[in-house]
Amino acid sequence: MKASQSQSIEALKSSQIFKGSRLRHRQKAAQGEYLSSGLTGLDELLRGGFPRGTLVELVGDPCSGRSALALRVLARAAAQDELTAYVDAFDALDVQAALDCGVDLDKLLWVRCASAAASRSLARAFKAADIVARGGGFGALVLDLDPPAAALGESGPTAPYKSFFRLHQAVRRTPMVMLVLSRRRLAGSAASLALSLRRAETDWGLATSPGEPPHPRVLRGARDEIEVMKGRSYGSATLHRGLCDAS
Amino acid sequence: MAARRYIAVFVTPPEPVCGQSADAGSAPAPVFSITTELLELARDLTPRLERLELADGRGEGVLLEATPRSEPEMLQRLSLSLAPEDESGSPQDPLPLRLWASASTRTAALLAALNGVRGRLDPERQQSFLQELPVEALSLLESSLGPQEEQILHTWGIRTLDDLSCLPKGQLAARLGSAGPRLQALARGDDLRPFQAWTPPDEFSQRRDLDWRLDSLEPLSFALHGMMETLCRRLQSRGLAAESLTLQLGLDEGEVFTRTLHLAFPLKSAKVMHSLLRLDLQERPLESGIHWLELRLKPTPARTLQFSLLQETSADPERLSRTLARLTALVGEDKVGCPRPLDTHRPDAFEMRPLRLDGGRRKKGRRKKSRRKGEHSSKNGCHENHRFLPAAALGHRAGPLDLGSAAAKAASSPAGEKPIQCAAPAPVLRRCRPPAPVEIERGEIVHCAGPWEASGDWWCDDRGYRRQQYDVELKNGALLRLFRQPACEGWLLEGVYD
Repeated sequence: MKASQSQSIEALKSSQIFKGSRLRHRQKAAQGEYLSSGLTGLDELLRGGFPRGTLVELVGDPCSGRSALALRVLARAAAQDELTAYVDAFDALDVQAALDCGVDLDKLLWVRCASAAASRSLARAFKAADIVARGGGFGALVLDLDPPAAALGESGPTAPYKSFFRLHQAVRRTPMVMLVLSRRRLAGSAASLALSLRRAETDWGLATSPGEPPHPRVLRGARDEIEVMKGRSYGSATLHRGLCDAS
Repeated sequence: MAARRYIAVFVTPPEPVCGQSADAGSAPAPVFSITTELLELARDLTPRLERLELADGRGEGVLLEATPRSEPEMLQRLSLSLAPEDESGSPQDPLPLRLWASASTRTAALLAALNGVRGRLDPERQQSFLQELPVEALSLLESSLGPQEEQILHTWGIRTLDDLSCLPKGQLAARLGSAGPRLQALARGDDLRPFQAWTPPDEFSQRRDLDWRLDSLEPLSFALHGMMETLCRRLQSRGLAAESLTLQLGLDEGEVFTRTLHLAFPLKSAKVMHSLLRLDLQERPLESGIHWLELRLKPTPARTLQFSLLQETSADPERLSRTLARLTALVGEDKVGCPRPLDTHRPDAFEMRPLRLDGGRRKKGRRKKSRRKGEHSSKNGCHENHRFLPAAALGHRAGPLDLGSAAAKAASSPAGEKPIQCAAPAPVLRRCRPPAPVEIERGEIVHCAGPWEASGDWWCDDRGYRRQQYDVELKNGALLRLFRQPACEGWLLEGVYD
């Protein structure tokens, strides 16, 4: 059974339809219909990058590297002379971190939607994202729906499912890539692409002193795994964050 | 072509000006000034007027162009209109006014500035009148005649303008440079440049007094729309756009409501500006009636855009302005914009600036260069905020790739493709604003790094801070940045690494 399946997959790969599909993806990438993430490996996995005019979900635990990836995409869009937006439901963006990721702050519109009630913050964030998407002129938008306190086990507010369809309609005919950061999948079929991120390893730069056991000294970085949950192609990639040669 | 006459007018204190010009070193305080009344009167008399500026900031005046026929009447009207009146209403004398008419613009200005009386100089008398003036008088018109040049002329035995005008032009230029012939032309009463008519700047404002007061936004919006269209038509006819717009509303009991909108981009569309103003007013409902309204646009040169054949067109400024106005109405003015970190060590110190289309182009290269390598800014002796922070916050570049795990993932990949390595910046911090108090049991902590001490602003009573910062990994995998302050009990969550 498995042998027949693998044979059929190989046959499909060698067929003209499959080749034509890959060719079309390459042509689209050359025409700028994809926004490169700036990470060669991830772009290869996504066959060109994030497709424009779509809603992309970045799903994972609070420390899984979603923000690093999202900021990298914003940096890439800004490098192409495009305006970017960060719609922040809980005021979680760190300005210095964005700068370190290479985001051009002069081209970043930061919309801070936090209010006393979490549900109101979410509603404002959805409304703001809708305004930005329909207004046009932006190359990438990050909709951050994850409260930082969720890392301590607090459950965040529930996002309305139908709002994502409205956002999908708003970005459908624009050159914008909308990245939604959340702990779990929220957009359902409104998302054209969903990436799941998971932290596989943390590098704590162990220091050794004579006569003492190794002890952690500094947080150096982390290694994450990215898996395509929904998209044109399926696969996984490894994302390294901040691994440096600390002396 | 009829001969032209020029009338120079200065409104002034009657002190001698030549004596002040002799003071070397710092520039003397302005002596003459243009009053609004003088400008209005001059514009009533003739549209051909020029603003005079004396050298070294010694004051301003007005120069009017006239014909031999209109000159006497203009002189008379100027004298009478600008005369201060006493209690009985009759004109007072002497006037704080200097009026001189001449066939040369510079001669008229020189005589009016030097002489405290009014007068007129016929063309045939001009040369003889100028001959008697001292050379130092030219310093009123020509800034190049400084104490050094005066000393040179004095050494040559040049005392009056007549002496200067008799010198050979070529040799004067060889010794004094280009200033020599210029000074000589002034001494002879020649104009160095033609008369330059001055046009007052256009004012784009409109006021409407209402018969009945307005109580709601809808009729106000209707009234504003008409005013906005009129003003925008005037703007467009002059090739200008609006940089900001100011609305003043006269309310009950004489109160005035003023609101100024600074536009992100110069606009000239009445529809867009009207919608921006309407959105702004929706956020600020007025509780009293409106009796009058005044709308003022600040003009600026319209943008010129050069589109590229190879790149996509950038954002439409008008749509972007509307988007920003809607966002501002939704979340508030201080919650929308471009963030910029402040030059301080204080954690999470930033400011919000308005988004501008051309804001980043000039600074882009320089800023990226300095930030990319994690270098410390040496501007004003200050260093970057993250200098004393742990390595995770420094944005180090990715190191060696984990090829071992790539091979392991190759077999388990659903599509049978190789897992792909990619590099991203360090774990970025997601801030918890404001820092939340946390209680973590010791057993939950897997890894911990720190403390990193930070303190600053101790010279400010209310802004001083001192803290110890830790990076912590919990059992559930959460990577946190915690800190504690010596003055307070307990731990605070600054953010989560993501």
